[in-house]
Amino acid sequence: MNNNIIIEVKNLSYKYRSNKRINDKTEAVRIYKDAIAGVSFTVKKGEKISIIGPNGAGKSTLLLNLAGLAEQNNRNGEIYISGKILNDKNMYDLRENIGFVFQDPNDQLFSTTVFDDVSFGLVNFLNKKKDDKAQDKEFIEKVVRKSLAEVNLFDVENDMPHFLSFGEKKLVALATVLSYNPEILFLDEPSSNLDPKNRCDFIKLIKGLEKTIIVATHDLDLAYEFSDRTIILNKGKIIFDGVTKAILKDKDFLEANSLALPLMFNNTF
Amino acid sequence: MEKTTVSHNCFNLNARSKIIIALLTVFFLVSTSRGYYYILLLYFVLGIIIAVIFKPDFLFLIKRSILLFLFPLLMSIFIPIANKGNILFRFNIIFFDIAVTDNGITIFFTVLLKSFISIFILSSLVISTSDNELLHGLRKIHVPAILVTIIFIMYRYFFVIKEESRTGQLAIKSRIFKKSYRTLNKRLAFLAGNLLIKSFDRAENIYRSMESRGFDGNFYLTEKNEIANRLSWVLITCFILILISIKIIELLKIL
Repeated sequence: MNNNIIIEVKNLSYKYRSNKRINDKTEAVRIYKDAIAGVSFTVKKGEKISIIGPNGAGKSTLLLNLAGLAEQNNRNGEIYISGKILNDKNMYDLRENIGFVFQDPNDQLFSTTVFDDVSFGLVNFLNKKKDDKAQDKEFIEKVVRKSLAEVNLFDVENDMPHFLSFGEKKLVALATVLSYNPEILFLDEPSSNLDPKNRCDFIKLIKGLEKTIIVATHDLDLAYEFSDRTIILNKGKIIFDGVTKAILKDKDFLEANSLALPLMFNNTF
Repeated sequence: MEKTTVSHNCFNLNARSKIIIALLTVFFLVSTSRGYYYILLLYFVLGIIIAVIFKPDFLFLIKRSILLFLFPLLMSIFIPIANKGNILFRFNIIFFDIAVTDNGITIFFTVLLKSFISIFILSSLVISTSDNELLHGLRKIHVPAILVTIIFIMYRYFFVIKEESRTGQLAIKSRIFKKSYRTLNKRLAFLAGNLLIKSFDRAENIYRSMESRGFDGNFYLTEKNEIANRLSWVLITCFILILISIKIIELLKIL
């Protein structure tokens, strides 16, 4: 494998269990839905990629699979992270290198203080390595402050996440993964529910991070501004993988796949 | 800004000391035998001393104590008629022959006094201590990490569920165009079910987010440094001595 490749996905499929239905023979049968069907692609170190597609295209499922957070039994195909195959045995080791930021920051921020949330991953990481720094409060406080400063937040360590604004929660959610310095970041709908100013600041922030970043979004403006490469998913299949700037101007192609031109090009109003 | 504690330089107790004092007092109080009203009066005085030391906002403390007191009051309302003893008076309500006994009355007042004093002391603790300090204080008195973490998470998501419930109620009310408690109550019952399902989903997402950050089943809480000053230890020792003295007074029936 090319040393420059950090993620390789080979023929990945993922099924969701759906409701029971009654078939023609009046038997109750369990229905499975394909969320992802035969997806293959590679990601180079430092690449910034957007995965776009309509609702239910399989974007979030793909990210969960890449992070080893989806149900293993429902998965087929292979995922390689830093050249190592992702499986039950090394899943926890590979996750050290992955930061996953969830769509809803309330899912990510479960502690009663920002400090506890930001230090959570770091402390787990250090304890796993049996590093003495796990007990070093000064070190942890320093890293927490640094991570929060990276996302332009100051003096919020002792605040309760619930009482932060939504934009601040999103930033803290990002800081929770920056604290243990992973090489790869997966961001699920990072711009959802953000006002224009916070959205703009957030895009600038993630664009400036020197990491491999994959963003799942249906915000095409975000994809246009943030990434050089775009993967378009529809009904669980990759229908485009290439240069962002070219595809996001192709109105016919986007409309054929339940998408629309980014607002910056859309002059229909 | 709503103030819930009074600034005061005389005593500056940390959360751990407050928890120890409050829990010990409640423990001794609960162990008091029935009918020892003078002893309960001593505990009441002690409760006031504790409130003075903990420095909560008194008006808020009284309001909260009275509000919470309604629960034990309603729960113990049948005690006077549910215990055997000398009958003080009797009611005949249709088929029911209800007898109020001296024993029942004694237990009733003992329960009420104990519960009021306990609520008063615990409310002073909760009002005068920030939530985080309180939870970290629990860790400091060696409550198991898993238990504290569960309390942490329950406390954190209480607000989220409350907000979801409020939004859900507003969504229901916005689409009810005729005053109908039946429709409203039916929909609120659906909302409760819906919140339960949502909380399962959220629990799964939270677990995923924890797993993605290296959660291995162990909680490593970063404990905050608390300065255990000499005054805290002196106060704890004083309280233990006072509580033991009250217990001796009770056992020797001095009052």
